Amino acid sequence: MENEKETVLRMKGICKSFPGVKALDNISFDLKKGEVHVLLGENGAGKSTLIKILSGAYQPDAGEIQIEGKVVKEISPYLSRKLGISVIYQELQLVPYLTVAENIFLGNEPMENKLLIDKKQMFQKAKELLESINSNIDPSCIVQDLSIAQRQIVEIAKSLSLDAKIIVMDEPTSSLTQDETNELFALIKRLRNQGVGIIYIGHRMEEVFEIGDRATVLRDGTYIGTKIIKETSHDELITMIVGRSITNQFPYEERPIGDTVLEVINLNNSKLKDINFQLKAGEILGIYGLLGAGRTELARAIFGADHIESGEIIINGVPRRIRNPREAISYGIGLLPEDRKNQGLSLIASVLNNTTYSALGRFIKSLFINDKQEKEAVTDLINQLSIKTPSMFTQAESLSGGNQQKVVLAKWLCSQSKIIIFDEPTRGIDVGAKVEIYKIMLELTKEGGSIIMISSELPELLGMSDRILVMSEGRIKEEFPRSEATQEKLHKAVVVNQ
Amino acid sequence: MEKAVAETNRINGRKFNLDLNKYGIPIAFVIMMIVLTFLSDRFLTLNNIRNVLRQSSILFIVACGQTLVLLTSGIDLSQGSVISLVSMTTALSLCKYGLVPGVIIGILTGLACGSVTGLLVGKAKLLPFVASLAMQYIADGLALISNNGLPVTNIPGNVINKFFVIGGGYVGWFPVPLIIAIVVFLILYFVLKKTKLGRYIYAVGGNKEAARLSGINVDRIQIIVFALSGLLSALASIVLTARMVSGQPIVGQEYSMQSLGATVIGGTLLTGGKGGVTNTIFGVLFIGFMTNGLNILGISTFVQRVLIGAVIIISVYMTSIKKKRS
Repeated sequence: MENEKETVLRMKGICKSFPGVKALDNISFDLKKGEVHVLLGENGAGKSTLIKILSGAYQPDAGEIQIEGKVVKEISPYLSRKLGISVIYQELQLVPYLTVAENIFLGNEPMENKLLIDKKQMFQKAKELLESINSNIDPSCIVQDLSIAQRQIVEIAKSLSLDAKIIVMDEPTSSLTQDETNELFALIKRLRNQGVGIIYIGHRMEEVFEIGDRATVLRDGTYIGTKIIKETSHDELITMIVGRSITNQFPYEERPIGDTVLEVINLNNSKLKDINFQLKAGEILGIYGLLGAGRTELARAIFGADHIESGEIIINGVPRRIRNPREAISYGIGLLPEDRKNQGLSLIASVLNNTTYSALGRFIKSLFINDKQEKEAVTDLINQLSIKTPSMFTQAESLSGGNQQKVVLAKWLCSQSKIIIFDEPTRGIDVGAKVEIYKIMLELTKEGGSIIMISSELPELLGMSDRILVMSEGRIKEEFPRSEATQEKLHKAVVVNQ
Repeated sequence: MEKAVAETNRINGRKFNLDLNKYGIPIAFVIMMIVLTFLSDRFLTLNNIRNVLRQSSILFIVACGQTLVLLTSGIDLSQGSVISLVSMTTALSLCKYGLVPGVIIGILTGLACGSVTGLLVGKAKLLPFVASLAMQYIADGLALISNNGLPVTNIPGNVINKFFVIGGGYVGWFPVPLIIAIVVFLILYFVLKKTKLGRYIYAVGGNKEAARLSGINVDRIQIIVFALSGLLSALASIVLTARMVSGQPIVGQEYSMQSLGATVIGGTLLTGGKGGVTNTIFGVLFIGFMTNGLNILGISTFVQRVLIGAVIIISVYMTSIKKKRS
């Protein structure tokens, strides 16, 4: 009975599909007043989709949302805000050139009359709001001059100015120091005591246990379960997050591993510190780490996309200077970027064009592109990778995520890359297509290619890698051979080194 | 019916849209031609058509340059001023050095302006809008400085006789400017369709970062398209200068916006990556024949400008609907 009264948000049977992917399948979630409810799951588990539905950015395909007992139909960003839902995203949504007070009351300014903003009242109110959450930020500060932690506090003040009953925080501590995190948690606890319901999305188990009251776990778009934090353990939650049965979805095989094809020695730039590692022929080298650990930066540095300050890259025994992607490609390196749509593909170009961008030289005969040869090569790749597309002239945009990823891969096969870096290769791809990508990876290594696989998904790293490096704060912290790597060890390596 | 169309649209996805993209403007063009033919018996005559084609040739050459720049998602606002400047340098050089050096100096002036804009975009990373806006002022100023704001009318007679052929001559039935425009079209058509440069131009316009990560030298492509835009503006300017048998310091003024208008009406996307010189033919002819038809019907040039504006709105709106529906 008491629960019934306290519940501020109830989501029932929420389903949402995108072309080619079922993002949410029958998800239920509820939030009580004065509770911190942690939402857990791997990347791609459906957390952000669920939040986007709550914030009105997406419409659910099915399901029901109740706020304070009332059913909400046709949720929109405007309605969501009006109902007292406030989402604080990882990339903060403040206007950098405005003052703190102006940001807090953006779109909701106290007015002197119909035309003029009552600045005095706005600053006064902002001050009161900030004081109510024990913050001494000056409302007349320009947001640009504030630290990330202070900006978060401004965001929270903004939520409160809108009378938020539900505040969603998406990995709020990912760029905070320990002290700032402590302050933020103190603030969250205060809000909770004032009766605000808080949905907290986080990865770090310590935080979950420090701040959470309950935790709900999602995996692959399905609801796994809800636990009361006091009655559960790290291990139980991790098992729920990762799941058990998926190990056999990885087509891993023992294979002969060859000589070193890539060696990185003392590599440094603004994001990377003293990186040393080797990659062997036929090997899949996994790299694990949290967001911002420097994994993607490492891939981009090796590929020549980011500047290298010092260090050496040796490819097949020859030291090489790689100043841009063109040079990296000429040494046989390929990169499947984590942001496929913005970095991997030209969405308005055809499958054919996307496939041959890096290898056009192969098809040039006395100035002109040899159409026939090009089409043959692309047809072969479409068959080899079983890319599902109506034709090779179809725009990349209309393909599903998995097939788009295969087109990016086809580009590197077309330019005969021998070292391919996969950055989050299966993000946003459904389970079936994932397995296909894994199989292709295995085939590539059997044919003598080498792979660096960057991923936030522990199971696929454990399932496919011959060796795993753990990165944190721009450094390689630990290395595990396949035989010794376990979820617990990798997770610990990341958390300890934070 | 509406629903059925939407349905087919969804099923055929891109393919349906592509067809509309390809044939929307040509269809509108044909309809306009038929209507104008019925409205005036002076419209569809060989002489009139030749006239329009000759007049449109200059705009087409300029618009081809604009098309290349737009395909990389850039924009070139300096074309008009470059035309003015080239008109002046060509005319002044014709007076001083004779025919061939005059033409070469004119071409090089345009190429230089375009290359500078290209370097500002490709190397200094200025936005195309800003870089070409600056170049517009610079070239404009230089054109006025070159002869104190006065036109150059004293080109020697022996030079002018030959030079005039470029703008006013005929080869058989064909006006020389039209022949130049056709050659420009054929070359660019093959460059865009068949060469690495062409493919890369589309790649850069489609997604710069993806192009860079595919090993394409994006900076160089940007420099090249602006240089070509300058070169084509120069070519157009020489034809124009020959036609006028004088160097005119403000003759180019209208061309930047006209070339943008024609290119956009043709269906090349301002955001880059889609379109081409075939589209631009229809954009240019649409404006050319529409203006001509309205002239014949005695509708004032003031009204014509309003109508061109309306055509731009309609054609771009159609493209955006097509995009949204998919």
